[in-house]
Amino acid sequence: MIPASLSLEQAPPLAAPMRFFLTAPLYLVAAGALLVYAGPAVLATRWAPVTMALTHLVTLGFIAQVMFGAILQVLPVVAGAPVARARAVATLAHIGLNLGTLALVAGFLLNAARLLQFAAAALAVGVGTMVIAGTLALARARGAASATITGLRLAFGALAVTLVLGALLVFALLGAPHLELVPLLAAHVAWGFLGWILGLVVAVAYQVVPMFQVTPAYPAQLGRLLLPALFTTLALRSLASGWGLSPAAGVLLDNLLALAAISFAVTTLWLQQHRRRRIADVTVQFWKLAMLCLIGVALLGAASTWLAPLDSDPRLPLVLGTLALFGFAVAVVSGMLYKIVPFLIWFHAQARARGHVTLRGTQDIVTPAAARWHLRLHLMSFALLAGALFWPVGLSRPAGLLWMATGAWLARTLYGAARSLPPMTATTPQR
Amino acid sequence: MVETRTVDARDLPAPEPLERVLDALAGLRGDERLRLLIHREPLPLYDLLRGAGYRWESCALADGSYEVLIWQDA
Repeated sequence: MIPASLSLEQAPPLAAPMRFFLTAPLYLVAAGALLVYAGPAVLATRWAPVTMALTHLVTLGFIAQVMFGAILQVLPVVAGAPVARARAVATLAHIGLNLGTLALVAGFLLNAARLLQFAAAALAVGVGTMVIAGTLALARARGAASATITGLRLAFGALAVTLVLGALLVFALLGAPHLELVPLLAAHVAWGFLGWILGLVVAVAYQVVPMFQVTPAYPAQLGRLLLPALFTTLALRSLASGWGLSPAAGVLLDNLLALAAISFAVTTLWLQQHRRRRIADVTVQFWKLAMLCLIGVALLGAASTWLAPLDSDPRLPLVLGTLALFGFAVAVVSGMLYKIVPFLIWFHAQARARGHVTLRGTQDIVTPAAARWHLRLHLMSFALLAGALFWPVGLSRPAGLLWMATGAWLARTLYGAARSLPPMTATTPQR
Repeated sequence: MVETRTVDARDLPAPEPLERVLDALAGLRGDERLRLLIHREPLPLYDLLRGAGYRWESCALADGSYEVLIWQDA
């Protein structure tokens, strides 16, 4: 139990991160439902509106949603830098992100210009709030985790770039002159996946992998070099395509990006093999799958720069997207949820109970069995979706059903965890 | 002679070290100290201790782990 005088000031109010965590699984259910509804049409081409709708249900609705909640919780722990006015920031970012995501998805599905424009504005508010609040918090960062702090700053920058490119894509889709769809989309995907998602995961992994998975620390040189190298290459890549640089330079930069991703994934797998206590742990398993998929994305991406038939195969972007989003990013954030949510609930439960302890430890809040079932469902959903890329008619709808089940199971687990929190005790005056 | 209780949280996954320290602090008498052994520097713990009126001294050991002595501020 927490001594009665213990202050909770350093921790954000529980509702600030939890509102994101409790919303996120609903989007996984929605993504599955869209796959069931539209079937093989979702997996035909990256340019289909229904494919773009599904992508953003996952990237914004699930991945960014969990990451926003996790940032509120992780910044004070790893950087000593709590987000100021966390409750207001969380409310505004949550409303903007969710209104924007729903409008964007509806705009794609209904081909409605007004909805797409509204989505761009709402996402600018929601995502912009998080970028500004996070960047301001990082300006006050302290502690030894300098590679993480630098990485978080770069990731917020990449998120801002992704947002601006996304807004430009909306205008391009609506027929604005002078905006070319193909290079804009390539840059939006590169900054969104390599800059924001991968950059954030690497920056946070330096701290949370040793902390939660009890591995040795990442090698100091990797910590110093990897993220600056990743972002420099990413920026050069965007500039190179803008300047119309030689294709050879583009190939070189793409291969360097793949090398950066592979070095992170291989190092993480190596650290996991050298855990000091080798107990079964769902987070470790989710991260293993994620690292293997990241290696797959990088190898396939690099191979496509050398093999023209692979590069021109219309299935390539869909295979890369499935590996990167469902195999890597969804697995990483799912694994993190099982460390962050039980701790948050436990911590606030202790503070509320003031001695009348009802929860023994974090194991009571999410049982290992519930977490293992989520991992199994995730693995089956991912395998079926990967299969559906090659046999869409037979497997796309079953894959959708399984993703619905995965999201529903996660929702059930997280809502159950939230309900295990005892109500506020009489120390709070009742009005 | 000040009594010292020891919590060995080395190689425990987060947040178990914090769980154990907070449990131990709740049972600590005013004249007792707590000695925490942990495999990394517990930055979040310091903020909690400062807010709760505890004092501490932390010392990096040769093997990369930390020893933190904690007592109530008189």
